[in-house]
Amino acid sequence: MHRRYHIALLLAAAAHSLAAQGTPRKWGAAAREGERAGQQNIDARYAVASDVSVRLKGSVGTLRVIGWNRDSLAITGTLPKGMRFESFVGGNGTAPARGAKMYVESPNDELASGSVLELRVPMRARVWVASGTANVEATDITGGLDINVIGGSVRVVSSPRELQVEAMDAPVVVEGSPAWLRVKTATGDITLSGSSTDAALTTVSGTVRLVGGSLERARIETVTGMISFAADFAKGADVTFDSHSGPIDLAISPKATFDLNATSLTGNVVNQYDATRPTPGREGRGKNVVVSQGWETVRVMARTFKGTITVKRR
Amino acid sequence: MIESHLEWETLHDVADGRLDADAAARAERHLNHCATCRESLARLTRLHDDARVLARDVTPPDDLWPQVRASIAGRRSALPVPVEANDLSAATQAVSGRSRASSSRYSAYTLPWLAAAAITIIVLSSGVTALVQRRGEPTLARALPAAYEQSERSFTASVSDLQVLFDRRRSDLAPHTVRIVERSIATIDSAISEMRSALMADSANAEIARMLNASYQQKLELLRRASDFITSS
Repeated sequence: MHRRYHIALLLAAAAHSLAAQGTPRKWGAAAREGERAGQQNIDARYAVASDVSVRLKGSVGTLRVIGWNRDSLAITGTLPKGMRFESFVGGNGTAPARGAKMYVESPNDELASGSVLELRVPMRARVWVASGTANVEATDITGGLDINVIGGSVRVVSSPRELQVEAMDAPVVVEGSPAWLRVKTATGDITLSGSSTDAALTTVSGTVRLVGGSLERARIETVTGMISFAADFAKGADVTFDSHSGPIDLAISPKATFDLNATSLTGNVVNQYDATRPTPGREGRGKNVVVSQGWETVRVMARTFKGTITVKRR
Repeated sequence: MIESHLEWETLHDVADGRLDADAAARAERHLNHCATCRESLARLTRLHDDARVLARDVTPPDDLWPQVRASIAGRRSALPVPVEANDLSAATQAVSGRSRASSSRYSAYTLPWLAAAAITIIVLSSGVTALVQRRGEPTLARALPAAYEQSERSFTASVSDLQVLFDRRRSDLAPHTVRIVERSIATIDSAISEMRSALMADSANAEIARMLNASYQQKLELLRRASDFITSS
């Protein structure tokens, strides 16, 4: 009798597990209570692993990604009527999900601009976002962030282990210290207020600003955009600034130790940091200056084809 | 009593009006009765007058350079020193070399002939200099370094693949996005063009080659991103 009861329980558990596996859960279609005219409210919560991988794709006007100290995922917000929201949560139903995927569909960008979503995930989560034009703000994430947008804006106020942002004309602001950082834009400005041990910031015509914090291995690259550095170099740093024609302004602390080699192949180099005078380059064109201070091995290269490099004290 | 002739320097000073009143009066007294010095002064004054009417800025016509180059090439075999194709100074020397070659006959020329020759050389040299300065690069033969050409071919092949994809599906992107991509590509192409020219003129400059590679890499990366947006839209 007992044995038969146990078998029945096991079969029921297995059936539940199979049914739960990979089940799509439609939130937008099953619009939540509280729906108002012209809008649909989104409110759903799930138990997830602390290092859950979350993917959100589609058109969102405003997206806030917030890391919290709970092993659960919550998505709330409002979507204009006509937009659709779907999600798939992985796992077998007996354990917290290790992956979640969400889609937001809009017939056009104009409608999508009115949507606002707030996604709360465990702090250690890895979050991937791809949207057209979106204002994305991420806070308190220590895991990983990968944000792809065309326009709008991106602001990250946290120090994820890995942060990658790819944008076209969206300005990107990072207020934190991602260990591994990659930002690429076409015309959007890039601002880093914080430190990084491995950073690569690339833009075609946007301005790159580095304010505060310190860099260890970093490559900053523009074609015509300006590079403005007012940060520090970490111990043993290797930092390169490259531009075709954009000005490169390096404001370096008088206490810093570094070996700087600044070269403008056909443009100018201005040294206001110390008394070293820039010398003419090959065939008398361009300028070069080498400024060394202290004994630590910190290598800084600034190179431009025809831009002006200015080195000064901060 | 026959005075000695006026010093050559004094004659120049007379022509230039640089003598003080006493010296000028002494020179004038001598010139009144010395035909040789009067003739020398007349030649100098003519030379000054001729030089004064010359244009200060000599910009040669656009089609002068091929003629100068052909003239140099024609003269190369006759010159004792070989002229390298990309050696501007050698080319300039080739133009002025004729006067050196003729130096043995210097004494046979009269002052007006020498003045005319000097003016011709000045005009030609200025012309070559102005032409070269205007063109910006002191190079006659321009080509990318062979080692770099292979690298560039590889880049351009990858770029053109992505460009084809972008062109084929640009309508899938918002017009605003297409404009940003196109504007950024134009910016990078302009940088590539400038650096290519610079590398052709200075083929040993590894720094320009590295920067050129970085620009190609930027273009590839931008097209890849645009393609990613297309495929994910």
